[in-house]
Amino acid sequence: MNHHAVAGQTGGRIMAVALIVAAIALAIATSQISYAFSSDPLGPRFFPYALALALGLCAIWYLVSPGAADAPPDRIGVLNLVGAAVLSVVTVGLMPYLGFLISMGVLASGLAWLFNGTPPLALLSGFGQSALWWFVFEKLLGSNLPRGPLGF
Amino acid sequence: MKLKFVGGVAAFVILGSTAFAQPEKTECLAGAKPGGGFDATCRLLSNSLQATKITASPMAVTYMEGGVGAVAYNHVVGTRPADPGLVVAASSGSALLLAQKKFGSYDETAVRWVGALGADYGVIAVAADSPVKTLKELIVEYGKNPAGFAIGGGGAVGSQDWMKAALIAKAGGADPKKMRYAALEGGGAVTTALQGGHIKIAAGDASEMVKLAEAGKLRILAVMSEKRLPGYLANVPTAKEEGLDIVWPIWRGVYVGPKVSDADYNWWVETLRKLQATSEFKKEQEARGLYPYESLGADYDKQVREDVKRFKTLATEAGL
Amino acid sequence: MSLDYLWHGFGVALLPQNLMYGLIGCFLGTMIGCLPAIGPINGIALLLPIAYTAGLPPESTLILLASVYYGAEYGGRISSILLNVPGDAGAVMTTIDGNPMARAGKATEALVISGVSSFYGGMIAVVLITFLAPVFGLIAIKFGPAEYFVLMVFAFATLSSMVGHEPVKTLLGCIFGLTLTTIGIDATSGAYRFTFGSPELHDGIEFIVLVIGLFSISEVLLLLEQHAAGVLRPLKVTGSYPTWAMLRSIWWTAVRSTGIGFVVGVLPGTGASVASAVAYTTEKRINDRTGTFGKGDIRGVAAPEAANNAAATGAFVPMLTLGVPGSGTTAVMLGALMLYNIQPGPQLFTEQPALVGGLVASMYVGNILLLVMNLPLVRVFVSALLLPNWILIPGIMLLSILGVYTAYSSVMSVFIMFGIGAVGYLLRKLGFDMAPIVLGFVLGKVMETNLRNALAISGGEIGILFESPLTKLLWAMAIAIVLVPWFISRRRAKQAQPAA
Repeated sequence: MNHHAVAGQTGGRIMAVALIVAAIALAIATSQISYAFSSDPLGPRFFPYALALALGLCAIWYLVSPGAADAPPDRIGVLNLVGAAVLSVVTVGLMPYLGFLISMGVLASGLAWLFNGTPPLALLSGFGQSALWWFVFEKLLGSNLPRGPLGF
Repeated sequence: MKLKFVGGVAAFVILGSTAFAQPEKTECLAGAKPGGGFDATCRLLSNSLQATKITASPMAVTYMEGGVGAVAYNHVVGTRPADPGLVVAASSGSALLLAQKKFGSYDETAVRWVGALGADYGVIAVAADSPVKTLKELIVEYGKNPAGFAIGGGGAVGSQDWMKAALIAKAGGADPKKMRYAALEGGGAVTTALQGGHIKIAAGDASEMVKLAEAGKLRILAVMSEKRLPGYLANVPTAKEEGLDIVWPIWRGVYVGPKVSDADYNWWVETLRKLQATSEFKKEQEARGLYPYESLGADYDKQVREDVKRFKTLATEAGL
Repeated sequence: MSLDYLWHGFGVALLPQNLMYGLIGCFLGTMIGCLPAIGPINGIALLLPIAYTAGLPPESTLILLASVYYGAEYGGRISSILLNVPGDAGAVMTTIDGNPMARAGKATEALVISGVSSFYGGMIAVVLITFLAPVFGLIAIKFGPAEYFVLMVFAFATLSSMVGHEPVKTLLGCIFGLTLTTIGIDATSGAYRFTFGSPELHDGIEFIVLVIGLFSISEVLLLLEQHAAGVLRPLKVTGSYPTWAMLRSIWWTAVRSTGIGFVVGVLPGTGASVASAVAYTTEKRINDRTGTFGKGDIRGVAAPEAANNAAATGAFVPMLTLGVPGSGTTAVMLGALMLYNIQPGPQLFTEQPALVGGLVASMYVGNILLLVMNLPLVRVFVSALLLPNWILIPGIMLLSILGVYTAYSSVMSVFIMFGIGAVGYLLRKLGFDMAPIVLGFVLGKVMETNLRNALAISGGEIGILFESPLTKLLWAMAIAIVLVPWFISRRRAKQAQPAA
């Protein structure tokens, strides 16, 4: 428990520093908003500036007292998370070229495998679900899902 | 007149020769959520095509929300420039955004403008119990005391409604930048705010106000059309009659991608021409609060470019 | 107002074919609500052309579409409770207590209680529409920019109930949500804020993208981590139904939440998501004496569900009395009326009594149908939890991607959802609640736009925010919701002392 709390505090402090940086970035980006004029006295920059200030102050408060948090994932956990993230980004990125059915079939199979599905079953369930939803959205609901070279 | 006749014959010939050019699958893309003006344009087209059986298979209506049509515009030019079956809904608001360079890197020449399907017209309205009875009076009163008249419209600074308001303010000798203008969320919010007395003047479109005016909930002072509009609005003067030279049609139309072939482009133009002559189309048009507005093919293309030019001038004059 | 139109309406709504369309609509609506991928507005947009092509008369079309709409508010709770993934915008708050109940093996109980609360909310709201629609129409007119702004202040005041033992995290979450609302075209000046030249960002981050990212994607990541650490256990499912005493105990919660939900729903510009959020936080403020909210309190399930159904029903009021849509979904329905050459407007009540009567009567019928249909279906839905994780979780992922892709047809918005999901995962690991983020997001835009519009109208005079009787009432309510529970708890503490 104690160990968890300490680990969580480190994580919280890192997040607090990131938020302080974000607050500064927000303030700078706000100063870049260009507009001819506004019909209201506050203008489009007022809210973002106010939020940047509030974010900065709260982030400092958070830095001082980060409170409790869960333990970070272990090495295998991190590997799994990174694997899932890469798989998702790559398959979604390729979706306009490979089509919905194939790319999402790969994604769903990969995730099924990460959750301990045995390879043949993972492939069956992954492509099965992808085909099912493709059919529902493309054929029944008339949506326009990305098409691959084979037309699906 | 003669020219029109020749055009008609030419159209007939082209139609005869390209009847087979009908795209296999037709789709109308609305660059917004379901329920808005783009959706209505697509539905008008799709329903009347189906009712008149001009196309064999029904036309699908799809949605791509973002930037009041900007995402759809970029999508068509960038991803589906040669799709012969795809038309995209547009309006004079699109021309305004193009004039203000708000459609990304592409300008109005990036697509092929097929034709208009109808138009609505700008109106200026006040509350039913307002002491102001005419547009002339309003302009005078406004000039005396701009702070006393909060104006509401369904768009931000630089939008069509804001432009209409700015023209009124200028006519009264006031600075558009100093207008007390509330940018409300669409026409419904504007009429509601007018009835509640939160704003004193409403800038909007005829279709969203006419029923409320008929029911005595608000008073339309003037219509921004060339001639008086039919129906209830026949009693309402045009802005021109009131001495204010403003005509503000809000046309609704469609465009296709830049790489669509001439044959397919012409097929669409002629299909629209044929469609607009049918009673089914006229019924659908009226149901959506649109008035007939003829502008097809090359005429329409030219008109869009002129509109963009006009809007650029207006925006500069208004100080944008 | 005479109630003749309603008797006439029951004659229309109870015709066998209309009863059937109502039933179909309720079933489809429940399904549409249940799937995170599609909400009521997409469902209705899809059904409308089918109904029109099939040549249904206007009242049947309206009955079909309306039943899809409120059916979706019933269905949205199902995936909120079972998977911690909100099925639609109005069901976000249902995750807070609904999912902990499911994890504790009380999924059936949570689903039945939320179903019954939806019924309470829908039914009370229909009664309000029947007798008071014109009155509420007048209230909607009274709300100008200043009133909307103060309403949002009130909503933020209810948020004080969400402040737990780590107020800084609640505040940061809320600020995060508020900041996201500033992305996109500024509604007042037309300026482009934080769009970085990308047209996908012109309309800002969409609510559905935020919600699916925060809840569904971060949930998948958390489950993956737990699985890798070997601590992921399948949920236990018990089939016990709630007791009558439980259903009675949520009655006043449902009544209060219906009141809030209905009023918020009536106002154009605020919808089921605001309604359920304010109802939940108000209920927590009033009733959370022992800190059970957020850990599986049945009132925490009842409040948002009663409120979102009441809001969906309330959204018909401006449509019927003012001819103005109260939500995106009712906007599509107004479009449906135009197909039939019926111009919506203030005369709808007098010109089309059969249509309006049929619609209102079908709401009575529809709510009963939904309750009857939903209770036995609970067992079917709960059995989804029996699916092994390697089938269930990829399914959640696919539906999340579909939900965003079909709405925006762009890979970019899927990536934005992933980004939000990753942030959500980190924040959840650090002990942040997702609810304040959602609340900040839901309330932020309405608050900023209306404050600025109010000041534009007054020419910069702050006084406009306190001028009208309605703003005064709302300020008083905002102060009361913060102070009254505090006084009560202090009094209790004092009374407890001498005893001790």
